[in-house]
Amino acid sequence: MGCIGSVIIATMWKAPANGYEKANRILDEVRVEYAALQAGSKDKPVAHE
Amino acid sequence: MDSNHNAQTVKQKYVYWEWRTLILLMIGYALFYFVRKNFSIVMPALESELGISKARLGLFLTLNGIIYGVSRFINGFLADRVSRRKMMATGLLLSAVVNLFIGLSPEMNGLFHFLDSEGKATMAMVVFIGSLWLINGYTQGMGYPPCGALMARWIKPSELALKQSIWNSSHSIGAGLVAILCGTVILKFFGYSSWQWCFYIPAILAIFGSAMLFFGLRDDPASVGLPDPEQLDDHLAGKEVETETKEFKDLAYNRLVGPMVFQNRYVWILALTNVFVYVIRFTILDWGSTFLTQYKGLPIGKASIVVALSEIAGGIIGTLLAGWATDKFFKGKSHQTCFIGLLGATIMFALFWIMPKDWNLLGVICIIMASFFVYMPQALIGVAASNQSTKRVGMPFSG
Repeated sequence: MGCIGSVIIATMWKAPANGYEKANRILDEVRVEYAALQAGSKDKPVAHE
Repeated sequence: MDSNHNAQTVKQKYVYWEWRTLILLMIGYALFYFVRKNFSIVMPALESELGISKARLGLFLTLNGIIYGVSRFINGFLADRVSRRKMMATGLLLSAVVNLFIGLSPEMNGLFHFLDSEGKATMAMVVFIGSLWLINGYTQGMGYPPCGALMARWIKPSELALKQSIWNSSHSIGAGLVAILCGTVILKFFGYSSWQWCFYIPAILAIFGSAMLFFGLRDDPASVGLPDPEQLDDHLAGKEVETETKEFKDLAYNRLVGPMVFQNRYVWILALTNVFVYVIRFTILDWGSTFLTQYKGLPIGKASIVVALSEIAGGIIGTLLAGWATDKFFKGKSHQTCFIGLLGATIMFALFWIMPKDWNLLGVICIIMASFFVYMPQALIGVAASNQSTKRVGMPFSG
């Protein structure tokens, strides 16, 4: 079991630890989308009684 | 002058709450181990006193492990959405109740036909204990996710890795202390017939622990009027700290969880590797005392001390060394440390396996070294996953 696990994790030996960079790129898109959503909701007419 | 004084007061209050949370999480999680790993220590007694076979005990442990994994997966998602404090306290309380029922099972012989004429367990009692241990698998999975979520909310980002590795020693402390309590104190001094106390005493301690978590923890700094830790982190001074609305966090979570977790092959590799890490770790913890007593001929008191030593000495040193080595030699690439740890543990296990039966001292050294190595990936595989998937969506990985 240990041998199998060692072989599996060895396949990512050279992998970069750069998840945060990839996530930041996605978050930039989310910020744009969120800003657009906020702007859209502000433009909607507010119902007054 | 006033604003300086206020900032100082906030900092002092924050330091108090940060350490209070960390210490409570360490004690709380160690107590989770008290009502989980007691079963492994008591297995030789269950075998001799109740006649429950190793195959059945092994089946309980295997199914318990599977349900534990499922529970961590489910609770990993829930931990970001419900009260972490209540989740952790409830999980510990339910585990304590399960343990009390297992301890009380021979007393229920009047209600159910649990013991045969020789005082051995009937199939009804085996099923009863097995079912309770499966329930315990689920309730135990309510421990880790709230701990991870609470630490991410309470600890400054620049101190998270160090304090998380300090917290991680609670695994070893809990497993080591319960081995001493049950194996070296209860079973050695009072004999195998006192096995029920190996469930009662940890359960009573866990009930107190549950109350301590419920009343002592707070879900986030805002609940005691403090700002987020990012705003108090000197290492982030000068950087703009984003305050995010709940809507933004939800939207970001939904957009990130797909590409960063489910479609991320490195996360799957780490998740799969974690299965093998746990197999080795639980082999030491679950079968260590049984193997050392029955195949190496060690008395239960000594066997429990070996398991405790492997956890406390091997585990804690391995955990701390792994964190230091990752920063020093591998430029933060935790998956490389995980590989070395897993390989080292495998070699130590292989040596233990091929070693002649009477080489007790070398056998003990191999067990302690296997524990030392296996705690490297155990401590860091979550950090490796967080490096690949980010802490925003890292909790589901824990399943």
